[in-house]
Amino acid sequence: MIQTKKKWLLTCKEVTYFSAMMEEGKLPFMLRLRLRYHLFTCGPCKRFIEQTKKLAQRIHKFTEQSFRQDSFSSEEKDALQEKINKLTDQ
Amino acid sequence: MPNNELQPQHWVERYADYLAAIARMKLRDDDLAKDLVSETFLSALQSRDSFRGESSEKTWLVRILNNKIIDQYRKNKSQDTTEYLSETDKEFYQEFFEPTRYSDHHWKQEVYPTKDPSFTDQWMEREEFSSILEWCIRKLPKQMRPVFIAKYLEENESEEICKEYQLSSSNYWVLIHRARLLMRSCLEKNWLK
Repeated sequence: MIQTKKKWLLTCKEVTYFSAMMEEGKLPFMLRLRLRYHLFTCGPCKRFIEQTKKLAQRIHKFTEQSFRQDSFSSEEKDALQEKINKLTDQ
Repeated sequence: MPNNELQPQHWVERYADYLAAIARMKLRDDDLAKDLVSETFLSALQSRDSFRGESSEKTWLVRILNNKIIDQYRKNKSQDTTEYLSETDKEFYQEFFEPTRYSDHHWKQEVYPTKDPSFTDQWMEREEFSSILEWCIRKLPKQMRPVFIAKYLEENESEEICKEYQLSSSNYWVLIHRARLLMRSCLEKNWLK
């Protein structure tokens, strides 16, 4: 589990953990400050946060048009629809 | 009313593949995914009187399917999430962080997030991004996958997800943390190769 130590400096593990909460505005003021302080000097964490933020935005656009693979064969589809129709008529 | 009337005679043609794609991505089990889609249609028929037309037919069906997936997730929690997370804790984070002169958990140099701007530049334009994204999502451990999808694809509220999947808030955030680390690095590996 992730626990912050009493010391002021956060580790990269902690910063990457808290970054998701920060994006939802759920980080207390002091932690936010400590996180920003860390980012001031840590390139990899800064890039992690930028890249995951872009990822979240991009995933948002990943919807229906991305689902093109067919799961059901046409026989399976016909059988399923027939079952539905039967139940609907009842 | 005509817009929001149920039309079961078109369900399979209109929604079967879409619903199956959602289920498959969350469950990584194609047969189970198809079974849940069939069950979704049948439960939907049974409870058709409860359809008020406040949402579209599609949204309504997706909600029924998602409830079935959540039931599966709870049923399959063979191992308690807390136990799973603590058992895999050390091993997992060692892949990403190591003790250095800066701190106990500094990024390992070999997994530094890339400085190459082309990593994020063309995600929108290039179509293959979707297939890499889907592949990376499907590679996530089963404890994380539906939770990650619920937050990032379906954009549900974190509190809502915790409630539905019966997760404590701290377990939830650890799952999200791990999923973010895995997803970013999987995408980088496959996008820049």
